[in-house]
Amino acid sequence: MVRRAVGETFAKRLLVYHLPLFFFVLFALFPFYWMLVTSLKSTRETYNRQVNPYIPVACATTVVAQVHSLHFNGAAIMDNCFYHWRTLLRDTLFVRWLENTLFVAIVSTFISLFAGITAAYALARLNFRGADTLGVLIFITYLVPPTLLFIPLSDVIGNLPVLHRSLLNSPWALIVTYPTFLIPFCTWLLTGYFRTIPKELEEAAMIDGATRIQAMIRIVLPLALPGVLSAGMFAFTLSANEFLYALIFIYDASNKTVPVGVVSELIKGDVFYWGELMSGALLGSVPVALIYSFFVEHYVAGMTGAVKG
Amino acid sequence: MAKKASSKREITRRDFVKMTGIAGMAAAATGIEGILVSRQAPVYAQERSLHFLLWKNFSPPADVEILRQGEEWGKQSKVKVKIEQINANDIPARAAAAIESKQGPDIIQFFHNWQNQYGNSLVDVTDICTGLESKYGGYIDYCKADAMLGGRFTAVPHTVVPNIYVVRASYMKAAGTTNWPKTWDELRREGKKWKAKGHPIGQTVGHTFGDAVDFTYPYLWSFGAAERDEKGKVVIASKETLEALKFFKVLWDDAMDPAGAGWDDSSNNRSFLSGAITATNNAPSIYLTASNQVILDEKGAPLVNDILHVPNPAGPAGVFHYHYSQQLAIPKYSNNVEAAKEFIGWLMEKDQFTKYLRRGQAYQAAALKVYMQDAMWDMFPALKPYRDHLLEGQHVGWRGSADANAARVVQNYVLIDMLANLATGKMTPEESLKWGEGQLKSIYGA
Repeated sequence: MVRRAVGETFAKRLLVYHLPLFFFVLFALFPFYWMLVTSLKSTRETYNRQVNPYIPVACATTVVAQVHSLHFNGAAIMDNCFYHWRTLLRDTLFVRWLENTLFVAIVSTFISLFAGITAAYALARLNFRGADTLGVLIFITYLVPPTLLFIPLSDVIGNLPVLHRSLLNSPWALIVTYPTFLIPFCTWLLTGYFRTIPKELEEAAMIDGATRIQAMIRIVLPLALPGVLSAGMFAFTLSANEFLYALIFIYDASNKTVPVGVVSELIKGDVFYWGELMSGALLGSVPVALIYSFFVEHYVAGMTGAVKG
Repeated sequence: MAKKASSKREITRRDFVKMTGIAGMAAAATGIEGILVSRQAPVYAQERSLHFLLWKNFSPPADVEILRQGEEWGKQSKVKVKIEQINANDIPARAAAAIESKQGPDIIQFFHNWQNQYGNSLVDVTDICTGLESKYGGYIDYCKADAMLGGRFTAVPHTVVPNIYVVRASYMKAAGTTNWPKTWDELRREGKKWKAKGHPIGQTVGHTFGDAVDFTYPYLWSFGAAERDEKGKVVIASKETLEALKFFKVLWDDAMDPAGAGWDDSSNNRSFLSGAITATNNAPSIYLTASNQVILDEKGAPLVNDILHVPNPAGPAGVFHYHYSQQLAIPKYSNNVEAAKEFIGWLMEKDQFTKYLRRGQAYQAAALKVYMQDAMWDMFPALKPYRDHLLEGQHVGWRGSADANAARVVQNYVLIDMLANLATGKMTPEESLKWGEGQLKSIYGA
């Protein structure tokens, strides 16, 4: 429901809220629109500068003609609109890459959240010596770029200490690698968040007989849920988009994740298969966009602190 | 380099013959009791495997062919062949990780002379190369130079991706240019007219493995500039280099598309195919895309009919080209060196190699000179100029050797950045030359 302040005119609302919001939405959604439009154009049309680049002309013409004639021709729609989508989904292993991406991202996010929550709670609540320094050091490890780490890590992943097993070419190579940058990030984010929750709430629970673990699970975690969700969303996005480790550690096409699979299969020499690349990019961004849209309120709350005064 | 200890004991062919011999004789002579006496389990053929890493070829039929050949050889030799293809720009990272951690593919395809950075970690393949040379004749000089280090082959020269100028004939004509410019100065003069008509020359000076190197190196060479002399001394700080840099700034401002400073290898293809530029230095990919995907020009006619392939213009020192070589190397960590050598030797046999080149629609030429006479060039007559200028190339690091440091100069894009500094207005020609000399001296150490 739109709340209108006293004395606020329609013109003022249009100028102050709606117009800026309209441009903001246009700006935010344009990349998605561009991906969609390019994925619906034939290669010939993509390279044709004589036609309107913002509309998939051949596709739109086909659809309009069929609507006018009330004669549905699925084959024509497929050829003029969804040719690249068909190629992506039928001739590449895109669906498999999407499954791999989701599997790797979900598992590594859960591992990182578990480790991050426990580490952050300890840093925020257990006043041991050097807690602050340790917190800073953990965050610094997040800043070490993967380009420095991928060579030593490939040695470790190829011959796991103690187990003497190679995880190369398995999704588990990524699941054990991604927490190396996700845990420091989650810990740093959640440490700050836990500190915004008043200690007195836990202390009251502990006076009533709860143990520290119970107080953490029953009192702190529910209050910290927005922060946990924020950390989870960041972790999921970072691991779903990761490229370098996925490129180095995975060999088989069927084990690849979306970022690597799409680049490996759809960039051939100096020719980019734009239609399929854009279809893949659009489809690959859907899970992340869905997660953000479901949890956006918690996410915003997570960025602004737990308990408001 | 010492071989990494492995928990798994690999069985070599010799071990296999020895063990099956003992167990077989024992079983034949004494049955199961004999096997028990020999205290050796009967050995069955262990399935060998071979992992081959190479680029995702521009020309998809070439990929189909190499996969088919891998399968065919695998069946013949009872080896499980896994062919992995990735984007060419990603090969250096994969190769570095594999060689440093001593795990990964048994055969790696390298471009330019990248593999020489890992010379000591690669198997000496001189025996394969000399065998192929004696059977089929010599290699193209720069292919051989790129594949050698310290008098031995670090990789088997495989293919070459040739690069010359690709031109829109109608755009040239519309601007009043009747013939392709013979010199860089003529190109600047005519290119200025093309740019005024809205179709400049498209050229990347960005960090990308193909087109940026393919333009920059021969451009500088054609002015008489070189990184090092024959003795290996850095000689980039010459009046020839300075002249080349000064001229490039004028050429860029007058005739080239300013967006090229940030282009990758695909950008000039896209610009050319969409009618944004008149000319660009490129491999046959533009022609093949226009042909295979039936791209049309503004008048609705097939674009291929409007495409010319012409040589690089001449500088004061003559005409130079750079065609990047591709070679196949076997890392020493491989447990399948013999199988890898057998496979590469088989791939290079005429029956297989001819099919591979032809299926690739002449996108790649062969490193062996004999294939310049192959019927493939008659199948793609529009691409014959690539063959005709194939021998005009030089290796990276020319006039010095194509050693590990020359590979580092390519991978760090030092010479390309010398031009990019001018294109973006970041430095004057004198400053860029000084900067480039500093970079080269820090890499070459002299």
